[in-house]
Amino acid sequence: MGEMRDPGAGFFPLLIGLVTGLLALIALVQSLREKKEINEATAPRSTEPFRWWNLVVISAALIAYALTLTTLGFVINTFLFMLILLKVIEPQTWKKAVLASLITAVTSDLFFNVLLGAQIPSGILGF
Amino acid sequence: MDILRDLMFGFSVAMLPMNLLYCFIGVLVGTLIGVLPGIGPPAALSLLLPATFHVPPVSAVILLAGIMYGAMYGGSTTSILVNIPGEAASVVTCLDGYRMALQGRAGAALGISAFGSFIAGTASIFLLIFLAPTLAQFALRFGPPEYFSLMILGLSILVYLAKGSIVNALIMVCFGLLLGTVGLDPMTGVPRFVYKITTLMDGIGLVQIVIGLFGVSEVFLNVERTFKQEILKTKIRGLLPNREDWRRSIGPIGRGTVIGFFLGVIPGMSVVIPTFISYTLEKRLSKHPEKFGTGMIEGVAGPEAANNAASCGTLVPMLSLGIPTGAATALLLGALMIHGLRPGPLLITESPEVFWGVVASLYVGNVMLLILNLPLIPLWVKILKIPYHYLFPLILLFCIIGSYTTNNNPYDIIIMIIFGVIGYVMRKLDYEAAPLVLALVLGPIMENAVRRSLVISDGDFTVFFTRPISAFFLIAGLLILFSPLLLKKTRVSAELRAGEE
Repeated sequence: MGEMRDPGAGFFPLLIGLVTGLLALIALVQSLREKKEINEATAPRSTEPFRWWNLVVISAALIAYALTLTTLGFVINTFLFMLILLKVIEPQTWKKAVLASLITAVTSDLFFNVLLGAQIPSGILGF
Repeated sequence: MDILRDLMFGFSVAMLPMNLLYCFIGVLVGTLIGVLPGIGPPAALSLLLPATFHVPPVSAVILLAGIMYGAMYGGSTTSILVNIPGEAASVVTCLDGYRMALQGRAGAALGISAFGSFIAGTASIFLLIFLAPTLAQFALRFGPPEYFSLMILGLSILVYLAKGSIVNALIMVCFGLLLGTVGLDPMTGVPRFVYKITTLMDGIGLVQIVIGLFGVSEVFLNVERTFKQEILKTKIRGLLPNREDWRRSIGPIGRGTVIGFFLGVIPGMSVVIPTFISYTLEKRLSKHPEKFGTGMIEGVAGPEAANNAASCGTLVPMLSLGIPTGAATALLLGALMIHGLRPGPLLITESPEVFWGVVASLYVGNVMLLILNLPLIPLWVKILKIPYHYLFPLILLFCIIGSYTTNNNPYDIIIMIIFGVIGYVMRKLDYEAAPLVLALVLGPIMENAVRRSLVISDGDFTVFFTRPISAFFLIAGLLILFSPLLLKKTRVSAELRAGEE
């Protein structure tokens, strides 16, 4: 924490913490007061169904990509990632999906790893 | 003529083949980002930030600045052609630009917005050349308390203008400040909020947070419902505006430039608000205000000049004071710091090649955009026709690569995903991300300033009020924050944002 004369590491976080707590309190009071208005404001804007499944699939695919990147490698991961998203979200034919994924995986590897010299792991393919 | 000599020096830097190339890539990517709805300059800047690690600082800033103003050119294209603003700064352009396109005058609208942007860009560069060094000179008198108060003022304006309630925006500021404290404390070396996770030792990366908040969350929003795409039906012919178009547009362009530049300089204004103000002004001045919204060229020329001038104006406080005023300039500042430069009033004298090189490159970039933009419109139109189900996996892939390559750490991708989800929830609940990002960048600088001020003043908090310049900034900031309490619901932004919906 330190003293006022020489504020230490905990000083600034404490200050922000106090302000945040205060703001949260104000926000709570405000939202309790405005309860009715909010219900009207969030009336359905669109008649389309809410496809929460898409969000789960994409998040899972992203996490899987992060966790397997060092073992499987950039090319394989990118291929699988593209394939999953193209097949699940707005299903394409297998031929289109595989082709698009393959092109993306190879060109992005050439562009980032070969041309720009980024060091994204190549994993089990080893090139 | 010192300025002339400096400027020539700047051009000699900007015209180096490598810098020309970076400028070209910057404006090209910027235009592309501008054309594509759903991915904005902040996300694009953070995606390309890692790619600039291996180049000299000047080239990095040239590239990143190119994205900023390139996006202003690109954003108008989609507004005019398909009534979808590529950027928030081009929302107003839709009103009359799309109407003109429907009347078969898409060419004139596109042409005048390109020429208007170019004129505004050129004029603002000159304003920048004169204003930035003067401001830097003035800022030499600033000590830590002045800096702290100035940053408070900047954040206050941004909070005031944010969507949703002021309390919400303030909470975002605090969240950003808190995120900025994660990692080793720069003054004492004590780890804070690290919880023994090595990835957090160096703090949470700006790049990962911005990509998550702006890139990933946008994709989430777009896929939660079945997406529809508008297909372009209008034909484009005759890109050059005729004499009558020019006569009607030259006034709006001039006024748009002045409004855009000076509002851009004010912290927190960014590029969106000047376009609304310019549009409203042209409507007021016009002899036929009722015709606005039916395809008036004035309604395209003014706002388009304003957003380009504003993007140049936002560079003034960033380059002369070292204080970013919005999410995009915050990333530019991040880039400067990554390259070991010390942003602040001394930047212009300590690293003249950066300041003058960037200024000259702004001009070079504007010329490139004018030449490139019009012939490339057919290409942008083709890109717009790529179905979103092919586009979004690509956007996500770029987000992954951008987050990963900053530190070559796979856990950075996880951080990006976490912020993608946070950003999605924030948007659903009407919390804006811009105050968070600005606070995140300013956080460590502000903390440093507070702690040093207190050391100087011997622990006396009144130091922020007893120094005149500091007191002025602080009181102005507080007045802005509390004004909505005093004047009921007269917030300018409420009106402006209402027009945006």
